[in-house]
Amino acid sequence: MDWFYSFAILISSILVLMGLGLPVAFAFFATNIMGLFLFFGGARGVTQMVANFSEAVTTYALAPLPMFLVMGSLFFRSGLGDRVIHALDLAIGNLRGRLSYVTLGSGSIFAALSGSSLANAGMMGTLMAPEMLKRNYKPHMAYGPILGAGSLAVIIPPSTLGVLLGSLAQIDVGALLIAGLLPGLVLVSMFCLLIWVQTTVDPEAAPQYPVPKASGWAKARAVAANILPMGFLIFCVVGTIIMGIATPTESAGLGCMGVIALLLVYRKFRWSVIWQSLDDAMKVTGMTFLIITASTTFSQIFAFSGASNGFISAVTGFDLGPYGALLMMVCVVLVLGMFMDQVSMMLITIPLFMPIANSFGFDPVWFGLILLLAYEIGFTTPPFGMLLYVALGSAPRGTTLRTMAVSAAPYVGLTLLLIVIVVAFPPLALWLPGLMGR
Amino acid sequence: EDVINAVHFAPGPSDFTQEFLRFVEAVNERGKGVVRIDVRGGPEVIPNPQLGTAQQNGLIDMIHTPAGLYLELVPEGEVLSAATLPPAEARKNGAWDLIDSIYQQKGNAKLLAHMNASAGFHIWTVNEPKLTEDGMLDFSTITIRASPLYKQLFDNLGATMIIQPAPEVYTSLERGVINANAYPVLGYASFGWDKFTKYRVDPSYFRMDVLISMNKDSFEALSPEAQKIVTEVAAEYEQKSYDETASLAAKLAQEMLDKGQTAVSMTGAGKDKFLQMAADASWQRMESRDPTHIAKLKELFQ
Amino acid sequence: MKLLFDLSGRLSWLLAVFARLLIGALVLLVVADVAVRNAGLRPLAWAVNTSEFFLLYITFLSMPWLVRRKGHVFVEFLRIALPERAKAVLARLVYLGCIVLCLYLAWVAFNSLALAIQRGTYEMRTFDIPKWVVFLPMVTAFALSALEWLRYLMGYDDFYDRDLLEVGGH
Ligand code: NA
Ligand code: NA
Repeated sequence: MDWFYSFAILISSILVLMGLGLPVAFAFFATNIMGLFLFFGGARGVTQMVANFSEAVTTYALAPLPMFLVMGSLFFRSGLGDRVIHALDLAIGNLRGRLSYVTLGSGSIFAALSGSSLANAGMMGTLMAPEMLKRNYKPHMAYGPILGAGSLAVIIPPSTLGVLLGSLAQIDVGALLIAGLLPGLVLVSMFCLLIWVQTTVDPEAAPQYPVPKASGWAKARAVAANILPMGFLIFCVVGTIIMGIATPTESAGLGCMGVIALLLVYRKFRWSVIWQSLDDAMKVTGMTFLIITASTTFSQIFAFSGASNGFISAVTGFDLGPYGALLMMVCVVLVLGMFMDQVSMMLITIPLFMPIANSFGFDPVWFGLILLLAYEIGFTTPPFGMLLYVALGSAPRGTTLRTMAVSAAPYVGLTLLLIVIVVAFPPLALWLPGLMGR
Repeated sequence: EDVINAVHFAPGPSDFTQEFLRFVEAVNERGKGVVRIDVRGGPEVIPNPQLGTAQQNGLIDMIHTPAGLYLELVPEGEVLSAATLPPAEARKNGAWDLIDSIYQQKGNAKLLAHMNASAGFHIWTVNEPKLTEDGMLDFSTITIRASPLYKQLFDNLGATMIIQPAPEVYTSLERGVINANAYPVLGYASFGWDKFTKYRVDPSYFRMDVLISMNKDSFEALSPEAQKIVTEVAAEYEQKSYDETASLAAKLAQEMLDKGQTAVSMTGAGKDKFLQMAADASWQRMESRDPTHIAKLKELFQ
Repeated sequence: MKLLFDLSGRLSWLLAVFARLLIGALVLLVVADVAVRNAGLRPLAWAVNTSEFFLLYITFLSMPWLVRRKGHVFVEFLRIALPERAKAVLARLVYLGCIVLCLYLAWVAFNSLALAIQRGTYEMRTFDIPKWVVFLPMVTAFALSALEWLRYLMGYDDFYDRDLLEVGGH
């Protein structure tokens, strides 16, 4: 029970300090220092932690966040976003909650194909959320789809987390990535249904506003002038990835240049807009990255102290049969996901999970996909949920983490439901990889 | 009983870590009541680039990590990958003692074993490799992903080099951002890269430089009996690793060949030139960082 | 005292300006790298590692300014249950805690910086970069943040009062 001592101390410290109103990053700093003095080398450990700060953020994979933030903010600040949404209004007509669907759809495409849920949430948070709030959407209709779309980044290729999981767990990477496609589509459909239910139950969640009646011609003109150029932008981000011009990390930069090109074409280019966008991006990036430096070292101390391994062994130690063991493993990931980043969780859990999975003869691809979904949920569960923070950082002052967590909750619920569906109906995950001749 | 804290560089399930854990088990078995190694974890505990410093400061007693990951502390460590002298020979002719003394002085580290020394790096290509007239791989059409360590070499060879983290390489190969890869056979297929790189280019170059080492002070604080057990088992496992790595690499290479990969070999003068250029790039860099021991290292390791 | 905080505010703002410029530079660098590569020229091998250091600098250069502008995310599920007076006391304790944290981390980072200069250590990426470059922004950020927290402690502002300032996000 040695592990329980360190587990209880570290977790309760982080909970209490956060709850008392210490900024998230500082709550982690304080807990880390305490943990280092208790379990990991004292002052020498703190020196090491400070050195590790730079390892945590000098990571190219994090570069899309500031760049996507610039992109979203440029769109919003310049007024281009407003025009696009106006054109969408004309084209779609009076579908209730249409901006939620649009956010979900475009967010899913960007998140899935750029592979970074963090960066996507930042971009949609700066671009779509303000437009929706301006039109009196309730916060959960604006932020829910943004937070929900992040799920798809992980299970639809390209996915660096998927590749990492495959390599760690010795699962065929190609099969694992393909396995996420169908469940991903199911998930998006469920999210759409959720929006429909939400707007049906509470019509005021996404109030209707007058949309000018437009002739077919006017609609076509609005679409051609405002939505088609969006195609250019989508090409800059998504097309360049598919065509091998840029990596998913780099494509965010091309997206920024794409928006600037659009600004020039629409004669909306202003240096002040550029500056404001950099400011927006700086605020969210600085806040997010500081939390990443602090929370990464927390995960390291958590692992070193033996808390995580002890916890996992204790929870998965019972003889519960295959489904019971699977349930326990998913629960472990859900609990760790409340305090830990995805990569750390994978490194910690996989070595302990794979022997269990193998002993029950689980299909590795099926099991890997279930784990991926579980890891991904951690992005939006409080108190430590990076997507919640990113969305919060780009939200109007006065928005609370509670609002974000509540917005995300139904999406988390549906992701859990998807896990149940995949467990109950394995072909959903395994049919496509099977076709590939696995 | 002396207790040694240890951290390894590779994730738990990898072959590297499993091998290290077997070494740990052997020490604990033979050292019952005298010395015990307590493995605290891998990259989830200390990020790879910080392992050398963590050991130097005494935060961790023992690390299992490639020399190439902390050359900033001991630039001479590059000799372990550049030279082809087998570890057993190095222990006989004094080369091992020399590099050990340099690690003690610069990294506050006592070297225990050079693992996996029988495996090298290969170039892997998506398209059928073309050889130049003298038999070297035609690097002009190669866009390769490699670690920063090899920048000098690939620059000299005229290849286009791209730096990116391992989990992104799959997508880059799939989309054609890169058409080649530089990596050992060990662990190659685990990233799914073999699906795209249908050609392996021989010969292998460089060598794996995975080291087991201890903080010098912690080592000296061990009882003489414990020191003896740790060094003996380490030497044993170094030899064991040398033999086993060779057969493991052969097995993994064969598996990829069976799945449709083709091995292509450089030939004649071109092949020699390539190997020479690979070694030269390392020596050049070592010399530019600290020339003090270069002459002696060259004499013993070549 | 006010003068001191005006000065620290100017300095924090200036560092944040650098952070913004670095984000702009990051975009340009990434685009340049892609462009050069697709033009068939030799890619900027140093671009990736340079970008990574930009990320480090963006993180820490923006930190003090975000303390000033209440940009660091916080939760308050325990705090919220307290009566007003207790909340005010708690806020002071939090400020004090943050000052201690920042000073301690600044001091640790400063020692690492001094040691890095003394030993001449460097970090190896595609190019060698002196280690002190890594610690410099940390020392600056933590020290300056300590001052900014002191400003809250001295009662010049209330970190938890979100309405005093103009809208921060949008
Ligand atoms: Na994806
Ligand atoms: Na979470």
